[in-house]
Parts: sequence; structure tokens; C-alpha cells
Amino acid sequence: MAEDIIVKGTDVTVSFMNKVGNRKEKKTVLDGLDFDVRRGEILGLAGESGSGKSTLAKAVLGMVPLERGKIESEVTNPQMIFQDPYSSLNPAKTISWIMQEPLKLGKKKYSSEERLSKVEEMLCEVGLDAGYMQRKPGELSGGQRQRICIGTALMQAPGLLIADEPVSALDVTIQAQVLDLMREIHRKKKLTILFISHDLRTMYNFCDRVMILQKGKIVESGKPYDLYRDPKEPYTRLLLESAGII
Amino acid sequence: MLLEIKNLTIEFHDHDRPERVVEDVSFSLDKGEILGIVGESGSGKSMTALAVAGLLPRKKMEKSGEILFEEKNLLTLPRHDLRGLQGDEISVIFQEPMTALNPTMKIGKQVEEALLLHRHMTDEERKAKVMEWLEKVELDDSERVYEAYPHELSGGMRQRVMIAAAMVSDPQILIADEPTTALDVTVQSQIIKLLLKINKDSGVSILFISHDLSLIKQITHNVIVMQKGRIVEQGDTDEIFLHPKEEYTKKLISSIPSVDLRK
Amino acid sequence: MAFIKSIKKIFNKYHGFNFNAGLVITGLIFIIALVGCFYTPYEPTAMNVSIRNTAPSLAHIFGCDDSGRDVFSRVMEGIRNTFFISTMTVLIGSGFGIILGAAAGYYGGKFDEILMRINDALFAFPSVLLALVIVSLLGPGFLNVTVALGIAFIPSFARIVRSGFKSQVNMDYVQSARLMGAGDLRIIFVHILPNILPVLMSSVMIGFNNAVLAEAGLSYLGIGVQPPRASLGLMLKDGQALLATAPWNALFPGMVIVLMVLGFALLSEGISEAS
Repeated sequence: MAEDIIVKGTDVTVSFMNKVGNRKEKKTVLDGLDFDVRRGEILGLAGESGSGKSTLAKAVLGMVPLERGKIESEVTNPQMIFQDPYSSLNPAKTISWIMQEPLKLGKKKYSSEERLSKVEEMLCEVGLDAGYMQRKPGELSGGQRQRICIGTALMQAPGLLIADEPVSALDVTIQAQVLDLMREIHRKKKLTILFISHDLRTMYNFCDRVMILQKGKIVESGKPYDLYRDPKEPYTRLLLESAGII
Repeated sequence: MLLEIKNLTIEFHDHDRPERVVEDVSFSLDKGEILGIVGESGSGKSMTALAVAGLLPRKKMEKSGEILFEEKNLLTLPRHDLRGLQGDEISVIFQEPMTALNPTMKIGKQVEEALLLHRHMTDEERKAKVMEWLEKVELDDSERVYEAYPHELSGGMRQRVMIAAAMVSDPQILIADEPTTALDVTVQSQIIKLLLKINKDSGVSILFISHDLSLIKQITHNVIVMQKGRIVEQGDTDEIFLHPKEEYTKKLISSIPSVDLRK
Repeated sequence: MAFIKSIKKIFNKYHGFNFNAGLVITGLIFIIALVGCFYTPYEPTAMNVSIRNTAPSLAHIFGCDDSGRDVFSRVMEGIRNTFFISTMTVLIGSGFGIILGAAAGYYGGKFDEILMRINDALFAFPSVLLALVIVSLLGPGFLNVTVALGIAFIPSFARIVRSGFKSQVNMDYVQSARLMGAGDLRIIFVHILPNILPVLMSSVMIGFNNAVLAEAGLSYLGIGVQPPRASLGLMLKDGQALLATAPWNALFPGMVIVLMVLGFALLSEGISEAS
């Protein structure tokens, strides 16, 4: 692999068996994708529902079996944050417990004081404070929860952060704040981020590179400026028009 | 003036402490106008819309102020008279087209429901009217859709069906509560274009509720910005987007990611 | 222990009328059972022919039975035995139920199918009937009844736990725990289980109820606790013949059963109200 490529997918194909009545039907969700993720970039994965963008994320994490092709990855400890901040935090646990969990599971052992001070540090880093430690997710707003999710994902220095529509369930003003936080963390930690979204507007300023997916195939990819200014494919143009960008 | 809301205040009384969700809201809707209400969650925009639609529960909440439609106050109107207006003069389309349609009923039956309740028509007249609207909302193959069940249609088609069902009785006011939020962007822009066309052709006034400023900008003539149950700012849409006066409006507008493609 | 702490927290959460009333009733009965372990006014098995079937008096507040034994002392022992059997029953039932239900709900697939079909088959019999079958295999007696009822109660718990796990297993927090490298056992018991405790607690209380009734039923049929040891069901059976002449023989054990069932039902109601 080239030096700055940390994930390389060749001919990645994923299918699911769907039960339609009594017969089983094969549904190809990803259809022969070639892609790569480069170290330190924010790669945007854009597409509508059913385009396979979330499945691609799962494939990168090794959570779905490939039917064909392969994904070479030199990423250690990939982490993911999800769209729905209400189901991504364990409702029965305190914030402190949730954020300590990655430290308990890692190879390196920490004493409970070390863990607590690390959690406190991380809470500050994601724009919250130690006062949140004994709270439960149910007492937090959507934006605060998403900050906790980001913090938890960062506890063990991830090699890749996959963010699956991390702001689409949030209010617009909160969206901007969470994106700012992610941008800042990206800059500070030189973190590679795979940013999955349906919102081309958000991606324009946020991503270094955008890949457009339709029905399991990559339609077009490139730097946002070039792609948005001069889309080669009609589908890209349609997406941009629908979003009111061109 | 078609609809006038004066000092509308809504308070919930189902918890220990009363919770004021809408406070002193006044605005009016003219014939043929598309009025947007924009705000974040908890702004009271949906509550205001539900109040206009007469869909708020009668118990456990206190409503004051006036909602005047054809010289009648919808807030104090007897239940029976209100039922006469709902689905006839005032129609609603909701965010989630899957749950808004009855999964066990054929599309045709669901669309003609308003006619069945409010009009005296023969079966043939009703079917003709329904088919006319299925075509007006640009559903290809309207014969097939008429006989189909909701699960056989895509999200975008279902939302078109909802619009047809809402418009079939030629209402004067269409309340659209986040009608495109659950849809893909490409479908979203088609639905917006459709609503604009219907507004132009039939002259129906639309009360368009959304959290999405870029949609509000595309579709509405006038806009109301709400926050925490109160109106922050209201006026001509272009004017507000160009020269917002209030801090909160500025903050909302600046949170739309800008895409500048000039070099 | 974290588990006990979270149970404590659950108890702190509830303070409705139903829960409090249930707590008072079951608490009272529990105290009587506890005292019954160390002290009864008379020896429950001591017979005295001269006071056969005497009505309640200050010396014998619940009266005496056909063999001249003090009914109150026997009720105390009966409560103790019934309490012990139903507690063990619920512990066995919920313990194995949690393990099987959690495994089925968490792993899903073929394993789930097989386990749940067996479960359905067992579920088709009323648990008392199932216990009857097991007792007839093991033979009657105190311990055998406990084991039989325990086994008979597994399916209902397994089913509740499984549906709880099914609803949680695809939540994003489980996915992210997996990504952090948490093992299956940790995810099942540390991450997911606390989230279904409220549902589980409520069904544990209903389980107690059913266990009390089932034990009384089995003893009534004469295959539960064996004489001369006392059990509420057994006393009910013995007292039934004397209902016209010495009604206290059946009345008091019967009332205690009703109270126990009522207490647990109120507790269960209180728990499901609050969650």
C-alpha cells in the first residue's frame, strides 16, 4: 500500500439475503467498490438512503462479511459514532462509567484514579466539564450526548473515526457546534475521519474529499470544490441541485 | 385575511409544573400565502400548527388567545363544528408518511376519505376527483396507485399520496408539518416543487413548518422564527434572510453551511 | 457489588402507593417467616389431645387443629416453608431464565430458534402441571418440589429476558461496546442486563406470586411438603374437612396465602408503574 493510505478496498462487494415471502432474494448492497482512505484526511461518504454508505462503514470495520473483494486496513482501534445519540449511550450507566469502559477494555491497565482523571480531561476536551460525570444519558440533550460519544470514541486514541450521520438528528445550531468540535479534534489529533452524511452542504466545508454513492456504486469522487463546481455525472448534479447548491 | 392568530398561549398541565410551550403568538395568513414557521426542537412550532389544525387534546392543557378562521374562533368552537372544518377547509400533512397512512387500507380509499365525510357525491364523482388529484400530485400510473397499499409505495410516493388526500377536498389552508424531513434530498426537492405548483394552481394557503432554513427560504413568502415558544422575528422571507434583526435569527442563518463555488 | 447496587437504586426509585402497600404486606410476612426460623409460641408439631379443635383464644390466637397443635405456630412454620420454596423457585427460574434468555436474545439465529422452540413446548404446559410431572419423576418432598417448581419457572423468565435482549442488542451502544473490544459476556451482563432489570424485577414479583400459589397447590395435592412439617397448602387441605366445625383450621392459612399473593402483586404493579 502507498504510504499514506491506511484503508484500501478492492472490488468490495456485499450482499444480503432478503426473505421475500417464502423465497430468498439476494440483494447486493455494495457492488464492486474500489476506494481508499488516506491518513489524516476527512473523507466524506455521501448518498441517499439505500446507497450503501452505512454498510460500507461496517465493512471497513469488518462487521459485515464480504462476498467478493478485500479490504486491507492498517488501522488500529477504529471507533464509530452514530446518528441517534439517544440509542448510542447505555441508558443504565453514568457518563463516567461509559467513558471509563474503553480504558478498562484496553491492553494497558489503569488505576481507577487514572481513569477518572482521564475522563475528566476528555470531558473538557469535548467542551463539557467534570460535573457531567455522575449524570446519566437521559439527563443530557442530544448535542451533549453526541459530545460524550465523541469523547468515548477518543479515549483510546483511535486510528480511524467513523461518523455515521453524527449531526443529522440534532438541531441546526447544535449541528454547527458539534461539527466545530470534530474539526478541532481532527486538527489537534491528526485524526482520520470517515464522515457519512446525506448533507452535501455540510460536507463542502468539512471534508477533504467526497465520495458519492448510489445504489452500492461509487458515482464520483474528488475534492469538494472540484466536484461541486464541475460535476461529471448527472446523479451528482441532481444531488447538488436538490440541495440547492447549484 | 384568511386566518388570524391572536395572542395564542398554550400550557401543558400533565406534569407537576405547568409548562408553557407557546407564548403570546400572533400572526396572520393571507389567501394564497405560503407562511413558514421555523425553529429548533422545543420552539413550539409544531404546537402552533397543531393548534391551528384543531388537533390539540382538550384535556390537560390550557389554551388562551384566538385562532380566527372565517370569523370563528377555532379554540372555542364546539367539537362537532371543528370536525366539519378539519379535512375540509383545513388539511394537514405530517412528517412521517408511513405512519400517517393506514397500512391496511387501499390508497384510493384513504384519499377519498375527506370527500366521504364532507361532500355528498356519487361513487363515480368521488373516484374521478381522487384520480384527478393522484394525477395532480404527479404520481405516474395513478390507476395502480389507487388500488395499492401504502407499503407498496416508496416514501416519496407516499408523501404525494398524503398531499393528494389533503388537497382532495379543496381546502383553503394546508398545514405541512415537516413534510419532507423523512425523505431523501432528491425526493425532498420534488415535493417542494410540487407544493409550490399546487399553491400556484389552486391558491391554497400553506402553513409550512420546518427546522430546515434552506427549505423555508426556497418555498415561503413570509416567515416566522420561533424560539422557546415565542416569536423571535417575523416578516418577508427574503428580507429576513438578507437582513436578520435578532441575534437568534442571525445565529440560525449562519448555521446553514455556506457553499461558495466562486474562485 | 454493582448488581446489588443497581437493585437498590431501583428500590429507591419506587414510592407509589401500590409499591409501599406491597412492601408493608410482604415485609410483615417476611418478618414472621424470619421469626418463625427461631421462635414459635408452641412447638409446631407438638400434639395435645386435650385441646383438639379449640377455638381461637388468648393462649392460642389462631386456635388449635385436629391433633391439638397450635395453628398460629404452624402458620408461622408454613409461611417459612412457603417463603423458602418460592424464593428458591424464583432464584432457580430467573437464574437459568436469565442465562438462557440472554444467550438466545443476544446470539439469535439457529441457537435462538432451537432454544425458543423447546421453551414454547414447555410453556404450553401450565407450570404447576410441569412441576407435577417433574415431582412424579423425582418423588415428593421438600427439596424435590423446590427443584421441580424452579425448572417449571425457567421458560417464562427465559422468554421475558430474551425479548428484553432482542430489543437492546441492536442498539448503537451495544455496537460501540463491541468496537471497544468488550467481550460477549461483558456486553450481556454488564452492558445490557441493567437495562432490562426493571422489566425483570416486575416479573420476579409475579413469579413469587405464582410460586406461592404453585407450592400451596402441590402441597394441597399432598406431593409437596410432607407431614408432620407444616405448609400453608397442606394446612388448607387438612382444614378443609373441618370447615364447618373448626373453620380456623383453613381460614388462617388461606388468609395468609391471599395476603402473600396480594403483597407480591402490589409490588409488581408498583414496579411496572414506575418504569
